[in-house]
Amino acid sequence: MNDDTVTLERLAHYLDSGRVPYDPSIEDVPENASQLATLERLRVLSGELLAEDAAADPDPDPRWISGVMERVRQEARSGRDIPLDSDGAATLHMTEGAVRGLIREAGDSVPGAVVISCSLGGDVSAADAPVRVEVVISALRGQYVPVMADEVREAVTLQLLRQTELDIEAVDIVVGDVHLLETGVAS
Amino acid sequence: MEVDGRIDLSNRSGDETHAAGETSRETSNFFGGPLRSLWEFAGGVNLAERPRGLAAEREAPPGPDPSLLDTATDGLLARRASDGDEHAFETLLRRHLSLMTAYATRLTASRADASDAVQEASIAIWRELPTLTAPDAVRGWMMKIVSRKAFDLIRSRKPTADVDDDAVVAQLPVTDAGDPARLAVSADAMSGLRRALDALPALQRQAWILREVGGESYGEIAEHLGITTTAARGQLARARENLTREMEAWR
Repeated sequence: MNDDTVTLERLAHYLDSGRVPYDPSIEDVPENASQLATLERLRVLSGELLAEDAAADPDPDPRWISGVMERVRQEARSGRDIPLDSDGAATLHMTEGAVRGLIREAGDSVPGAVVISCSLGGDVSAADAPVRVEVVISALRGQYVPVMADEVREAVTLQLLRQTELDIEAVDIVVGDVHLLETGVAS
Repeated sequence: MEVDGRIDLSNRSGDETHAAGETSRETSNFFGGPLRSLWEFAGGVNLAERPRGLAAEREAPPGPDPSLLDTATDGLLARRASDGDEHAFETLLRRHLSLMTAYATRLTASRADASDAVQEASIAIWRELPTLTAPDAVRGWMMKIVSRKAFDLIRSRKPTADVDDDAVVAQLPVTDAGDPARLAVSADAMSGLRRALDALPALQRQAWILREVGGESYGEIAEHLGITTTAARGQLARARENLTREMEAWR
């Protein structure tokens, strides 16, 4: 130790900052540079240690997973109730969450498209009230997006007409993201 | 039913190519990792052949083709899950479950407590997903919820939280899977770090893991440990001293 050595805490903060800006009082003093390398190695090793722990972790107990998913479904964000019959005697309902599921299913069925999110605008709880659907999708890079968007719009529209009594005013498609094939080149 | 007669199809598609919520913030911690802003899925999946929903399945639409979600990015799964897709949530959970468990085990020093903490964390993650502002950084966010739930549990179990340290050591053997060349250099250091971490007092070990693996702030560490920020800095400083001293011996 000499007067030029700095505290480990200062070295840790320097490491946190990505060693920017370059600090000669650390980098150019051999004792400090050596301690800095040790800290960096400890940090990397700690991450690797956790990754090793995780890799050694046995497959999750299926009962554990199903227990968690059961609680998740109990807290399902089902949203508003949507009447299933437009004849006034609205005794049958489906939840907004179930409608979102139908939209996801229809959108996912278009090759190259995956639904990210969707929303139903309008008073869906009233029979015959016009509803505006917005679907945000991720599009496979390289596909002609306007055609894909049309296909998603068509699939979602058809699905909702078949399975619900919603009075659909419009189905808007927003391309929120682009994705690659797994084997594709990195962008 | 008449499709054309009933709807006015607006044509907003293709105009809005801005990625929704695509802010990718670089983080230096282990969980942050390199963020994948694009997601990928396996080619050759014939999505068109998937069965359409039937009327009988109205209340519970069948889940999507698993391969579609299995290859999706964390960010996409997080956004779908926050939109209410349980299948996307389950895929996200399964993907990170072993890391969540490993993290909780290092913090609680008990495999059983870790399992309980991760269970509570999983429910909290589902509940809080709609508030997540950076879906692409969901893994680090999930890990913060894991540490929160781990310390909730530790606090509820005081003062017996540390009794089964030995059991953890026994249950987490050093696995020698991986690149043999790299292992030749680092196996000693890794097993040395394991021993050194296990030998640290609980507060030092927890402070180190929260900071160096979880990337948590001094304030967050202090809150978890139920001590002042100054005391948390002190614990972390002692952990650094002890571990660097051990590390010198492995060089």
